[in-house]
Amino acid sequence: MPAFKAAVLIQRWYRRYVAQLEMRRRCTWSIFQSIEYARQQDQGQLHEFFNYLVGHFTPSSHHESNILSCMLTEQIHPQDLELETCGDYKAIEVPANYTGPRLSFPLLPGHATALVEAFRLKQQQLHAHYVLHLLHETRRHLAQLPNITRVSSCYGKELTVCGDLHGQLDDLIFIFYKNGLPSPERAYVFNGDFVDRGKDSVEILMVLFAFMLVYPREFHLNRGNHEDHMVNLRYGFTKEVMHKYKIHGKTILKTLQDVFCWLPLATLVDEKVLILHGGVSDRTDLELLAKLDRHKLRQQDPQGWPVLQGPLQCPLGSPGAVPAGTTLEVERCQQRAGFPGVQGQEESLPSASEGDLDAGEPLGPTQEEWQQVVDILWSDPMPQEGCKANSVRRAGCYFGPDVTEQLLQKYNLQLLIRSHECKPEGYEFCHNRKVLTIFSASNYYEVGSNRGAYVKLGPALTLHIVQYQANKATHTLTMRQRQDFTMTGFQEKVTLISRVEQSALRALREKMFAHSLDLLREFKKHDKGKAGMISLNDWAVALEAVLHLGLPWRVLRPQLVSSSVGSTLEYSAWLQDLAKDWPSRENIQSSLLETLYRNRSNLETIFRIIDSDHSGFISLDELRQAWKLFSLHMGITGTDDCICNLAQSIDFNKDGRIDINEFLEAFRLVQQSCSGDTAFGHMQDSSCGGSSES
Amino acid sequence: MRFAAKHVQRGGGSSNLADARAAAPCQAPAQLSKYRGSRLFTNRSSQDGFTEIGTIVRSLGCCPSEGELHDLLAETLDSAKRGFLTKEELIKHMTEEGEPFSQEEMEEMLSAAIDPESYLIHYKDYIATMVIDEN
Repeated sequence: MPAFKAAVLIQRWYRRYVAQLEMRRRCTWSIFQSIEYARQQDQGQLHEFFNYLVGHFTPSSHHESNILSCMLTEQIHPQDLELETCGDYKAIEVPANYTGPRLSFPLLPGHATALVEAFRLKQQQLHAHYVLHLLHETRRHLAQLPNITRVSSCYGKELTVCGDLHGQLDDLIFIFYKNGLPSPERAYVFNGDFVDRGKDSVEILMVLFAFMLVYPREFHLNRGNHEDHMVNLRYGFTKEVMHKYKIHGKTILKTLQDVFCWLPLATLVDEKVLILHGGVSDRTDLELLAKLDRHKLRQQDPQGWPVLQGPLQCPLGSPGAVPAGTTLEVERCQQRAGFPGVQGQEESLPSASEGDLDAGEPLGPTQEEWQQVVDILWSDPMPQEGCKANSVRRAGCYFGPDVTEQLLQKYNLQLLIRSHECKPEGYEFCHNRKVLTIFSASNYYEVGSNRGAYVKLGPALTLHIVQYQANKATHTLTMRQRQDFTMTGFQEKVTLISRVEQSALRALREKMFAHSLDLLREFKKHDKGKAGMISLNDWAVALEAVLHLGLPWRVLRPQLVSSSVGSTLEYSAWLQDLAKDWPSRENIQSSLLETLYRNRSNLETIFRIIDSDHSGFISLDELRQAWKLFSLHMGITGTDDCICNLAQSIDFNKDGRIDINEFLEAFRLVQQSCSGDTAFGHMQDSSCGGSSES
Repeated sequence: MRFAAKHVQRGGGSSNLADARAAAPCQAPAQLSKYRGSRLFTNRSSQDGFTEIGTIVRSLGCCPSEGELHDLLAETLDSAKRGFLTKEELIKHMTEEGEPFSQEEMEEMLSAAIDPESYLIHYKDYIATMVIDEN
């Protein structure tokens, strides 16, 4: 055989292998993303549930109205907060045996670096006294800032822009150590989503706020959609705070609600580069955004509370119209829902609001203002032209290259830098390189799932992107400069892809399990002859019809179906096989179990809302009430007793209080955070240790 | 993992499914149908402009089996039947003959193929590690 031909065959073989690896990687990525999007759809359900409560439900008992009242009035009046937090930290004593970092104000650079060191090396926790003092000072500082921070770059100074961190302290520390700590010569912009999901959101906030106070002219923060109380309830930040600060957690959370509302909305560099968290819409108006009172937008998670805390539909000034975003509005809704005793609450409102009303000015944000802010915090770019509602996130929009172009021209801009979406390489250009997504949380879905990145703006606004991937087990970090290509070994890549794949497949199996009954129904439709078997093709069609994930089921089949005779599958046996991985409860029917799995995220959120003092406990009564309401809305019948029996069995000390975590744990409904540690830790030591840094 | 896609573009990569079928005749049509209805490749604006379809084609295309490959290497590159190749020999062949590897591809192949102690490529072992389960 001539050498030429031989070479071709060898090359083809190699390239096929590499391509197959890439296919697997993309499949895995696709699984993670589609499951994440499905979760977002869940939130839409919760929104509908609350709408249902407000619109249709009349409480028939004192109990029920209490629950509803809990769920509908998660509002704190801003005036109260000032008084509360002022005195709060002073009253908290720091014990003599506290060995963690101590802060004194005004903060010095040494304090900020001491924080970083304490968190990184000694894994210490900052005492609540200092946390609250820091938050107090942060709030004071933020309140002076405009909605849009204007920054000028100048020769000799770097500006680095970082994206979502989501509680992953390893990545933040890496950025500071590779890129350098913030300084008057080294400016930073952090583009939102500092918290939720990862396990060190508190520490990240402490570090970011500290540096912001130390270098106010060089260190800038933008608000993200996760800097929001309702989102935090669902995605883990609330839980983290309560776990780390058992006594003062509630105060810290209340203060943070306020601090989040004071975060600036965007940063503009040299009047040319616009940095904001989500994106833009075809009606984005920077002048309006610059002028509005951002602090009034308390709850801007439209998925949880648009009816209550977003503006009312009727225009301001018309009779009966109530200023949006106020306690007044909430109470108007409560009246509609038939709450007793609401009249009394109205009188206790501070006189400030009445004064404002008299002046004839709107108290809260208008519909327009609210929409503008939601757009910039929640929107995503899309390849097609136009601007349409963001159906996945149920907030903001999808904006096309024409919208970007229109905006850049209107304000004479060159580039839009945004975050909000995880990218395999940590960054991605789109819209003709006019939009840059930068995402700084590496291994976001799973250890090995993606790189993180940050971008440095140089002279003439040139861009230099740096990628990295944190290796938690060995605490080493691999870094790759976009320009000079350094790679980890091929075998390491393969191993990593396999591992991430396993994690994605498990998540997928869980989702399939949670829809077992629906799947069975769908399979039976394809099995007219009642043979108990269907073709593999029908299997794929059925899965998509039920799950709507848009995954290549036929490609995934070998990893999801272990037993098939020829090209047919015994579907009942397959479903039973799926169930093996999950605990069965003798006293809970499988259909209920499935319902709980499917709705676990919403249930957890509801419980945490009811637990308004964030103690981690709700009463048996409250649980029963909440379940009754929820099951009513979801059309689940005959399960009340079941749930109550289960709850009672978990109430070990019979004091009528249920530990939320334990209840959810009983069904293994609680998401594991950073579960990569044990499974992958020891393996990573051997294979990834040799990665190079340049 | 850009290498595969990059190469296809250079070799006149396909831009739609029909072309892809034509380019990979052997088992491709049946296997390509595996992707029917999936959203794996929709809505993605690849920043370097590579055609996504190239990756699929590449992953399905005909190529020698493990055993055939071993014999191929033994006959054409290792006539002395040493059981190994030197780094230089492999590089020369892969970058100068056939559909040449890019520097990136070469480096990546070497990183897994080269035995760090002997600095040689024991191709039998190497091929054995590069097997992906067939469906």
